[in-house]
Amino acid sequence: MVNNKFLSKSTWQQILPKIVLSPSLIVVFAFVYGFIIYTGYLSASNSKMMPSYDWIGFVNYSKLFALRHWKIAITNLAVFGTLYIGICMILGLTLAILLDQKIRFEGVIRPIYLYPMALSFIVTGTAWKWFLDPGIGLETIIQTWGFEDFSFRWIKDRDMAIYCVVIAAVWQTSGFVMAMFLAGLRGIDDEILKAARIDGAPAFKLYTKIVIPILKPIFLSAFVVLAHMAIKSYDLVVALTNGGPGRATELPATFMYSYTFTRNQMGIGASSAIIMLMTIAAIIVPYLYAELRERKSD
Amino acid sequence: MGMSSVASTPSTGSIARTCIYVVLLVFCLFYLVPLYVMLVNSFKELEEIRGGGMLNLPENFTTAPWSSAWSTAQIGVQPTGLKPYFLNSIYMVVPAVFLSTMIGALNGYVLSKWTFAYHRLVFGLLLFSCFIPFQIVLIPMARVLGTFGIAGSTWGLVLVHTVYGIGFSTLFFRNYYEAFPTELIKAAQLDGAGFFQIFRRIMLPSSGPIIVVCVIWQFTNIWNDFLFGASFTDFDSQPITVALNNLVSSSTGVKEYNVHFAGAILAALPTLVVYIVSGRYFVRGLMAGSVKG
Amino acid sequence: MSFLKISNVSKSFATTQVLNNIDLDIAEGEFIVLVGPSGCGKSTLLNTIAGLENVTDGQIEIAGKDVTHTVPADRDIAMVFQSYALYPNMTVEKNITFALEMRGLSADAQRKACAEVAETLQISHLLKRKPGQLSGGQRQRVAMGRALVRNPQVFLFDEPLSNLDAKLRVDMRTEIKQLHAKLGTTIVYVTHDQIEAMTLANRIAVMNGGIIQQLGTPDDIYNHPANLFVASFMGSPSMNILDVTLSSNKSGLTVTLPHGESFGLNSQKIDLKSLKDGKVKMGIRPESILEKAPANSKNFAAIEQKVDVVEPSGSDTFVIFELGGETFNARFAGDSTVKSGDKIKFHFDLRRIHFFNPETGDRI
Ligand SMILES: Nc1ncnc2c1ncn2[C@@H]1O[C@H](COP(=O)(O)OP(=O)(O)OP(=O)(O)O)[C@@H](O)[C@H]1O
Ligand SMILES: [Mg+2]
Repeated sequence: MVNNKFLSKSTWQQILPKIVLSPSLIVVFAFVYGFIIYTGYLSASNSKMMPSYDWIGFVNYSKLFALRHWKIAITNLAVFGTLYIGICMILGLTLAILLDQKIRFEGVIRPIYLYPMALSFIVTGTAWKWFLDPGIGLETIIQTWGFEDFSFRWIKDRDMAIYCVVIAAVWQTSGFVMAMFLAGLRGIDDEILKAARIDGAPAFKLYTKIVIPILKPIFLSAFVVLAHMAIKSYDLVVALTNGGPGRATELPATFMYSYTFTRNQMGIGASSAIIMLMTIAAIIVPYLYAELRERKSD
Repeated sequence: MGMSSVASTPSTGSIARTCIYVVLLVFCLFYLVPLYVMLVNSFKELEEIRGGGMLNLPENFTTAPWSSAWSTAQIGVQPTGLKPYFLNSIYMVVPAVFLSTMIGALNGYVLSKWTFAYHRLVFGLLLFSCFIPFQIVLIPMARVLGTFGIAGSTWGLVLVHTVYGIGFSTLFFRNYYEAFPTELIKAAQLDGAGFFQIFRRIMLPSSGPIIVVCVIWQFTNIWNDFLFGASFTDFDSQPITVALNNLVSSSTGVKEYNVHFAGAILAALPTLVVYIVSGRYFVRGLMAGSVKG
Repeated sequence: MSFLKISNVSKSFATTQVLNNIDLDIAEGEFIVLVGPSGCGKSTLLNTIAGLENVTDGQIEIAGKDVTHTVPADRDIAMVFQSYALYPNMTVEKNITFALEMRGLSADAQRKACAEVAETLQISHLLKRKPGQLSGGQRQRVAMGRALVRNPQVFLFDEPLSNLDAKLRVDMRTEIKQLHAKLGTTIVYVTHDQIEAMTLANRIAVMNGGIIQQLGTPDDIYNHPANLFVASFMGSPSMNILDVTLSSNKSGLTVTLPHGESFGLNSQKIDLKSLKDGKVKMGIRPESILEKAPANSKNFAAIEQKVDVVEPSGSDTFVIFELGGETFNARFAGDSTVKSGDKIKFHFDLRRIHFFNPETGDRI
């Protein structure tokens, strides 16, 4: 503004929005991006129990990737992530398609599928922990039904416990994925479907050739949401297995917590957090970028 | 949802339709069984649970596990029950939800109606903060809370949840206000209303639905949080999720499954009630929060 | 004596220039209509006058006061938007009095002013309703009421009638004209409707590409378009344009059509020196091509062509034919019996022929 005597009201109205926004920005910059940098720095320091600022380069990272414990955690994440995302998507899509067949009690069924999403993972973990417990849960139930030989002790089994985490996580989120797909199905332009039917597409083809391709953006959204939930998964494991038996269900999130706060290996904990961040960023950043760009064009 | 479905006519054969209903019903059971198990077993005596028959209705109906979970169960070192922690959660969740919603509304208002150069980038940076693995902020956050002298306090948790809630609340309001006609803002400016007057008189009165969505979302997320609660509190400021986990996973003494189940339901109750009362808004929040919209 | 003075105003959004050096002097009480194709910057110009957008360059004065950097609220301007922009959460009464409240008027004064305006616009019975409970026409009236109640120095209208159906639009047009006559307030009015522009305006400003192409009375704009753009933009169906060659001889000018036919012009004086080989664009409006002309009149040139299409519209019959590779449109009387395929004489009214420089597009 060249004209200084008008600076008062006009300029004030123009900077007011920025003044209102700036506390949030400052806080987010400090508490998110500043903290990321800080943790990044710690990951290159020899911090143990307390932060230390002695720069040691990438030593923590090479230590980290040499740790068996970390290898277990990332292997588990790969197994858990793949199954969790895959099952949630397949189950969510299937249930959505089935629910879309003019089902009589849809209004009752839909909320039943979705309510676990309102629960804390700690609650989910508690429920499934005892339901899968061989002493009182599923195994005992089936045995009292007369199948004396029935055995189901995955949650106590080092090789199988991770699948229990998958079951509980799928239980919690698959209904939500279903709701996403259902909304997508309902959003499809009626006339496209009418045209396809007039063209004589049988029901199965209608889905594989037309509906599912149209739902592609929903697959992408669901993938992004599920992937970032998988990487952040912490509460569920703590409540369900607490990483056990042994270390059988450790994930990067639990690894980071225990190395940082109970094993006093803060440098290594920080480097594992950085690895987690980079994995999530690799998924989220392109997605957000595309989403925000897209809105620009319309 | 009121929208038309892909399936046009129930032309599929009746056998196929029966199969569909069976599958849908089986999954209803799948989703309901854990809740059912928690519910029925929270009214049983411990002996009955140990004897098997987890799916049976209680033989000797008792509310003792509930009163134990609420007021006498051993949490950590003290036999206080979950009650104080339930209150902690409330003291934490109410201000945090209020603050993050208010701030998000103002941010959304600015980022949609008072845009400036690079507002999209700013929005993107705010949004990205929702998705970071919070492990990345644990160490520095613990130090900052310590420096401010609010480590281990409910106010510390309020701060943490407000800060990390801003991203989503801004997202909700920005996308909602984006669809709000800009001409209304112009008309109000000509009428002589300023930045805050427009917000209070024109925007807020029309924001009912999105406020509900945002409040529900923040409430559910903050109530259900475990990581921050476990990291930044001491015994008297723990939220209920942390206390529940302590109750369930304490390795000493007999495992009181019935008390655990009662406690779990207590911890789940507020969010479940919100879900039952306003499921429609809950779902809208989930969608908006995940699909970016 | 200009009341609203816009000097050298330019406006850019990031890299795109939307307004380019706009100059506009508007007298007190004048009714100015802005027309132009979509995206030419009409709304942007209104917004800069209102102060809703900052100018990139230039100056705006209202009643002798420089308001270039004044906030909208202090410019004493009211605006009616195409979407009406009624506050959805407020009653009609609150919508109308909101500006008064913002200016600190007492509740009593607000009510009185509102009642008066509601009376004028015949919306007194709607005051307690919310905008959502009103029809399009009623909303339009409320939007007008909101502007009127402030009794501002300048009214800005951005396509205020475009969301109404045809009948209502005509009625409201008349009402706006009466209101203007009664209040005498300066008005800047944007529309896409040419009839609205012609009937309402004291002067019309035709815009294109962020530039005012011509500013003049409706008669000026229609009968003496300053350039090809204005000529073809105003009028419906639009002016017929054809490349012709002009040559001069003793008796005057000769127009030679592309296929060789020619006719003389004696009434017009044109300096041919600036033209390359006498090549110009000739324009003639459909109503200047007649079916019948007075016998032996020097003012008409008869050109024989085959009729391609006949489009009766009730009051008029539009006759479409081809001339020199261009499609021509002639407006004949409604009772014309011309049929497609007929070979007839089209009588061009030579007094109403326009010539434009083919390079600059300017009127010759
Ligand atoms: N905020 C903005 N940012 C960037 N470009 C803009 C903005 N507002 C308008 N424009 C551009 O400026 C040009 C002029 O817009 P304006 O709204 O003034 O046109 P108009 O003449 O009113 O059109 P219409 O008749 O369609 O209403 C358009 O190309 C438009 O895309
Ligand atoms: Mg416009």
